[in-house]
Amino acid sequence: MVDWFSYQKSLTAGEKEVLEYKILRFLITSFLVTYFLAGLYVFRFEGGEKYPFFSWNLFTEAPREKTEFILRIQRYGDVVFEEPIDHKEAFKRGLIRGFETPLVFHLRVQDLGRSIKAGNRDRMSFYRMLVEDGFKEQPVEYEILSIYYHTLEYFRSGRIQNQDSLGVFTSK
Amino acid sequence: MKKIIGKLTLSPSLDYFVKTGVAFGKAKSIVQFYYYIQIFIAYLHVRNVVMFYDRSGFSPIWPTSWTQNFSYMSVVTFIHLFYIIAVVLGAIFYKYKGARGLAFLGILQFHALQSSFGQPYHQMYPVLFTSFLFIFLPDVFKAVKVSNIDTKKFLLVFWGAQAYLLLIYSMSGVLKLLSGDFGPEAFALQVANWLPMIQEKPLLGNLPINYPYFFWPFYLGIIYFQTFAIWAAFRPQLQKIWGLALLSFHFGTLLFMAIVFPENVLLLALFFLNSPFQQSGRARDMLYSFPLFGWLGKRIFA
Repeated sequence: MVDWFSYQKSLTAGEKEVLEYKILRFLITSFLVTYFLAGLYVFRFEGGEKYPFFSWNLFTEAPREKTEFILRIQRYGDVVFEEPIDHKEAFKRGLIRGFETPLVFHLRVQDLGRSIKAGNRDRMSFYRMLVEDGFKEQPVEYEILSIYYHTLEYFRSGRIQNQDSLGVFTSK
Repeated sequence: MKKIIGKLTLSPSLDYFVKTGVAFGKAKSIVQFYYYIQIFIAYLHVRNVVMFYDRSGFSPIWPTSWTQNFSYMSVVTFIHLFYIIAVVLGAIFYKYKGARGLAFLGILQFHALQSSFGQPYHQMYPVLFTSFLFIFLPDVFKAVKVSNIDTKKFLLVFWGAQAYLLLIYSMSGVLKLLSGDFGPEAFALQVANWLPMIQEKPLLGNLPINYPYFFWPFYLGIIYFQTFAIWAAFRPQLQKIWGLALLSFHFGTLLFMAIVFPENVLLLALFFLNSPFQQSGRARDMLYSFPLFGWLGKRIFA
């Protein structure tokens, strides 16, 4: 450390400026390299990110078939649905609050489905709390299902190939 | 590999741009506008404050960990006000490092608040990191005569911000390549996968699904421009073209998939359409500097 200070003292004003430039160049280069490497590292985490680093793994998947989770509401407050509605329809009808966009709510439903499937009770309670907090009226009786479909067919006709119930829940 | 890394140097060098003097003036103006548009970006976000009122699942991430002892609404109010004050002061006093640092802190706090609901808000990352880099700009705005070394430092930091913006597109492009999903139907499948999740009807959403083969070359083109975006940081003659290509990409994803990245669009236009490092030159030389195709063309025709 002492050597560094005495070295700096021995420099002329011009040499000092050049040294400062070299340090700045090193910092900028290190920032870019670190950001790139950290992006690769966080790729393995959920969503490919760990704040403030992000792998920029966006729209890389083009799945022909897909398995995802849906939440199907059977009873909403005092209203019983003869034909249960899924979470996308519920969002459209304004039955969900507190989520910025339908996508954010959809992602939380995926988190809940994953935690149920993995049998992770802690995460399941957490995501149940998040999802159930979004219902404007209580109690709500809903079913979580795992569905399997062909992407293009589902887009065109809404046809599902397979579905499995993961359980029926009632919000408090 | 060594050869490729060896080519990753700015060509022509920063010294060249220091000598011509034009780049410094342009870069200074862009930095000035950068801080002005922060006010606009803040305005766009703050007008949506109502969305925070009853948002579920507030779980603070590390920059907002100090909020734990305060009520949720007082945190929302404080961070919004701090963000506004920080970017307005940043825009007025952008010539000073302290003000640029304050603007960064305001952006950091607001972005952290946005990202404290289980998922980071991706659109603000470029603003966050460029504002961080700009703290390192030397305070030369008010100087009557600026030394060559200070000019070089200024251009270096500015170049760093440009390189960061291009790097994030390269990272995205490389991951798309590695996924291997870029066959003729890839774009159609992406659209069909995405639109039911967001429940939006973009203007041209059905076209890639009905005519996948027509859109395939465009899709491959976008992957090319994304993957090699970082190359434009080192070959400034490509910056305008890359800026336009990436802007087209954002308009494409908006029209076909209803994906909005307004901050990126602003920054791309500001940093690349009139880049300080852009030079006028022969079109053929510019085409030869395109990665892969340019090199191939040079071998065949030059």
